[in-house]
Amino acid sequence: MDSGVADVRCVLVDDNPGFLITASKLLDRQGVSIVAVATTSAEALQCVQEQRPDVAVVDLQLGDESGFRLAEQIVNGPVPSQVILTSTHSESEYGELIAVSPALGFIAKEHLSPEAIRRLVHPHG
Amino acid sequence: MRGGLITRLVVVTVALAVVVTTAFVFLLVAMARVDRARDVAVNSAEEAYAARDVRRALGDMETSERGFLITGQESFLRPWETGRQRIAERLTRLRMIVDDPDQAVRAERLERDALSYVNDYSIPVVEAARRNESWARSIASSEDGMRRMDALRQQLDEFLMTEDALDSRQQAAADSMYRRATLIAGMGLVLSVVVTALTAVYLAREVVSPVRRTARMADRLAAGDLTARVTETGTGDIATLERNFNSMAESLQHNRTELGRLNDEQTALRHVATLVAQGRPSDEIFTAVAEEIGLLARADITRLLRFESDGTATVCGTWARTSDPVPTGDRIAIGETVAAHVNETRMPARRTEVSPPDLPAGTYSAVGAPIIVGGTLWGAITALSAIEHPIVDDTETRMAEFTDLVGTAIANTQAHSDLMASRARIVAAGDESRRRIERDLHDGIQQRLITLALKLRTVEADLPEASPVREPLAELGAELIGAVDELREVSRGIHPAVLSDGGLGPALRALARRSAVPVELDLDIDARLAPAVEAAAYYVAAESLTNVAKHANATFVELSAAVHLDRLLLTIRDDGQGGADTAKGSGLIGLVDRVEALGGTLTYDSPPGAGTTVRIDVPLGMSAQC
Repeated sequence: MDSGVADVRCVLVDDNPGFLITASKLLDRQGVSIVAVATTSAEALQCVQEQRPDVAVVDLQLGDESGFRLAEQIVNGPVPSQVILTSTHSESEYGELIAVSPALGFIAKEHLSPEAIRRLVHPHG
Repeated sequence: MRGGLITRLVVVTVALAVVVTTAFVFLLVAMARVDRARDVAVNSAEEAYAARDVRRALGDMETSERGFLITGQESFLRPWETGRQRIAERLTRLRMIVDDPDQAVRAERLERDALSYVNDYSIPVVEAARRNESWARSIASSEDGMRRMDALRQQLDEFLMTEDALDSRQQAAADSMYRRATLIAGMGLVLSVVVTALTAVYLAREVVSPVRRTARMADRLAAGDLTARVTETGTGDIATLERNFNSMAESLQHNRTELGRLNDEQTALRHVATLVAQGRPSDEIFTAVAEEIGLLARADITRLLRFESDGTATVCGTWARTSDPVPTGDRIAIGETVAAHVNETRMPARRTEVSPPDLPAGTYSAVGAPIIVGGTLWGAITALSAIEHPIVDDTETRMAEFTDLVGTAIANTQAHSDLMASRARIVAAGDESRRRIERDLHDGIQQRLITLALKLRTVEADLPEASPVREPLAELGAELIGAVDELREVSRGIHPAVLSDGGLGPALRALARRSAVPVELDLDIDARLAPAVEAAAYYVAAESLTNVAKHANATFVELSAAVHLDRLLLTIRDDGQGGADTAKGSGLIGLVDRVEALGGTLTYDSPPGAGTTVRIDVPLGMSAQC
């Protein structure tokens, strides 16, 4: 257990409900707390506003919507929050788009873990 | 004088011959008379000689008789004998040559009396004297003799005088006849000359002159001046000659003009047909048609109109001698114009339009012809000209050939765009199924595998540290992720995520980064393009880079892409060995259809030893079409 550091409060955004359930179970531990899940951009923004999480994990393939756009909206929104991008595609498939994005970084879905999230949110902690 | 040329010539010549002949006949008759008069005169002279002969004979006889009577010498009787012998024949001769009846009577009486003197007096006296009969030398006998001789002399004198008088009369008659003959000859000559002159003048005026005039005009005609005509003043055959010459010249001129017109028309049609065959854009063809028709019809304004469903028309092509107030592309109302007439009847039409809309005020002569495309009325060509110089006759029928070409051009364009649309649909359908496959892969299998992997990790996380199951589970996990990576490769080949999300620029940069051969990028694209265009460019670039890596033995590749004047230009050039024959060997052949379906071109250049260049040129939007 961490010493005196609060859990990283996290919102998960993905258009696949099945994934949300599995990911919630996996990630809601070891210093990460899943406070909300959303399947659309609108939902995601609402959640962020309500929950004021530390980070939102955003799937880049949000159906017809662009995950990059949502990331920008969240980072630059009225309730700013960090964003971690994720996808079933690998990082290299997105080329420079990830580097250009205001998100903290990218974690491929199969590599998602609480440690991975914590490492990005608190790089020195 | 009507009638054939031969007839007239014959008549005139015969008249001339008749005149001349008549004159000569009169002349000959006069000459004959003169001749006869001369004969008579000669005869008269002979009569006079004959009479004088008789007198001499009588005189000789008398003298010698007297001499014998006086001398009684026989030698005096010799002349008397001679005379006696001669007298009879001379008297006979005289009698025979006398022609005048009165003179004949006198000659007969003279002969009788002279013979009587000879036979009844002289011979008896001489015989008596020879016999020395005294009465022979008596005064009575000599008086008798003298009386007889005087009577005879008187008769002879009478005869001679009368003969003289006759002779004079005949001389006078002969003179007058000669004078008459001369007069007749003179008149005949003058008349002949006059008639000949008149004949010559007549022939010259009626025959020679027209023929020469016609010959001169024929020369001009032969030299190329087809306006040569003769004034038709002749009659009969000459008139026929002149008339036929004129109609022949008219025909030649007409044919040459017609030929010229046909030639102009054919040249214009060929020009337009060439444009159509070359597949030039519709607006170019429409403008060309408007211009050619305008020039051929010598119109002031021509317009190529497309009929719209609301009763107006769009001007698709226009030409004007000076300027047209309606630019191409505008809609105009067609109201009661010739275009409306064509719209109703689908037939060529000609009208006089007074102050038509969209034109400077005035009265116009207007013709229109329908444009039929695939059996339906598409629009019309109209030509207008100020009424002072109306449109050439039958222009509306000659426009039919042009409207056919226009119809073909429109049908071609339609077919072409139908074809393009069909190809684009095929390509789009292909893309759509690719995307579906990709989505199925992503949303379906990939997602499941990843979820599996995560579930596995969850289980792993819940296991105690020292569980023996940890290691095999980790292995399983790794394999799962391996499978996911493989699927990712497949997915990327089908439809890369970066292309959909980031556009052509980032996608090309991603390609460049992954390329085995270094890629020099030169990108000038600042906005998203149509998905079909981005996909086509990306696949061409990806395929080209694959080929470079596989075959080219190159050290670097230049990849440039730019948007210029509403077109995307992409070039991939390597410095490898080149020498590939056509694009067929590479996978690019499949992409040619995709590029052309967008209305673009793909060129492939691979000279041996000089590297390979692949170029595509794709239009970005649809330009406004008529």
